[in-house]
Amino acid sequence: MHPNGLVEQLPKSISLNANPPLQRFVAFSGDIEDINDLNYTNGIKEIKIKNVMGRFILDDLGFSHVIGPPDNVVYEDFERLTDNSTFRNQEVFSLGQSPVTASFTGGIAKNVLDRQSVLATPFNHTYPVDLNYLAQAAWVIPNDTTGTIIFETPAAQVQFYAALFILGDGIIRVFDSNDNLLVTRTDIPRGISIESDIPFTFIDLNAEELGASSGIGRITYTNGPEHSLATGFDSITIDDIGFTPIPQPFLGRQSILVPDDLIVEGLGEIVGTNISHPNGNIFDQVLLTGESVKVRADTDQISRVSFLDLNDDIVQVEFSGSRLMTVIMDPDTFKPPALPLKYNQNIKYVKGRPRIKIEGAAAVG
Amino acid sequence: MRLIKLISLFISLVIIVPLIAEPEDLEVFIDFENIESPGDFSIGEPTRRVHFFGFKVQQEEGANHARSGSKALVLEEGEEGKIVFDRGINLIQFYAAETTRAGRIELRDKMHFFCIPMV
Repeated sequence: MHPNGLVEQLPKSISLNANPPLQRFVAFSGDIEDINDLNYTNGIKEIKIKNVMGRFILDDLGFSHVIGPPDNVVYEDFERLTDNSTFRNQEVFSLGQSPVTASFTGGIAKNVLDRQSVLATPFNHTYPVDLNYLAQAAWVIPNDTTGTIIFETPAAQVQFYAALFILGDGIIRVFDSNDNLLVTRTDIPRGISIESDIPFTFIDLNAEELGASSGIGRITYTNGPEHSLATGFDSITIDDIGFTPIPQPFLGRQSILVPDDLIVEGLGEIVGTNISHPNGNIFDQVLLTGESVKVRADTDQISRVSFLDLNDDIVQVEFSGSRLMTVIMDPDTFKPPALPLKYNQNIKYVKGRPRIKIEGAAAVG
Repeated sequence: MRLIKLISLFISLVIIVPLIAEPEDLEVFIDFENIESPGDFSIGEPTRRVHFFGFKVQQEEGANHARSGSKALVLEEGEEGKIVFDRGINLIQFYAAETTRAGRIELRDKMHFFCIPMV
């Protein structure tokens, strides 16, 4: 095992005769004290090869996936709240990218680490193992409250860890895409920390097994009336959630034709249409692929154009109304489509300083 | 005595077999023999893919040839490559070489999706 997931001083040859070492990495063995794994509790997501001075060769690649929530199309451990101010302590937010999103309401994504009493620590399943990274974050539902997760595309599978302080005081209800109740779960443990001695496993919801071939549409998690004031922490939590949508055509980043052209002129790719936002808005999504794009907005809908700014942050320019909006990148700063530095996505964005032009009066968000 | 030897042999097999497991024994195995791609490419079912960026899949000849078959992932001097997985990987194995013994392999556990705060 190589420390910190780093390999240097590679062998010169991988031929059978050279008998090269097998490069072998375990993301997480299940034991936080195990020094033979990487403690990558979410699994290995990326391998980078750098500093090639001669000729680099890689062959015979084998791998096995993580079992549990990280083995899903969308996965979140809520830890980013410490380095993403827009997500910190969010009460209403979504995970994933349309049309594969889950909207969260009723709870709050927050740090559950209680350094005074360590009582809340068992409520977090995993966190990055880094001394400079002190957050232990989860989705928290306060007393007498119900948190709701709504899947934009019904889910074929949902997996997560859930915890509570008072046994039996939390109820998870799972509904299909027609809002029929599929199952109720009350077998929720009192701790989900990988460092805890409390036995636990993840909640594993499979739509087919629950008799809902159309998928899971909604999950609620209710924190009951029992209050344990002695603990000072009466919330219940969900952490490390992963979900996979039911298979469907045009899922993902395939272009979708729209009868009335959304893009009037310029270079852009329509990556989603008629996307329903939980706040009631419906929008069409365009990925800017050149130096400029002119778009229109459907009646009572929002058009959104995506690109990277000079800080490599993803910018979404939203527009509604009957006029036309043009996003023009400053040619001196324009960079052609490339993978974003700050986001691990397989989507190429153009980058630059934008100018926005509206032909006629309209609303710009 | 024979019993002790048998037990020892059994224990040795039980312990050693997992340790010497080859990449071929894992859930997914790629030897690159059937890949025909001039540039970036992906392998696997949608939503469960592995993506290769910056590499060439080349026929290897000479002393540093591929571990199996004749094709392998290749980077030339100054190039960088990236392998991205749609889903988290718990165990990964491969063979890698660099003709000057330089090169650096980094394994990362980045998040795949970002959150969109709602307003």
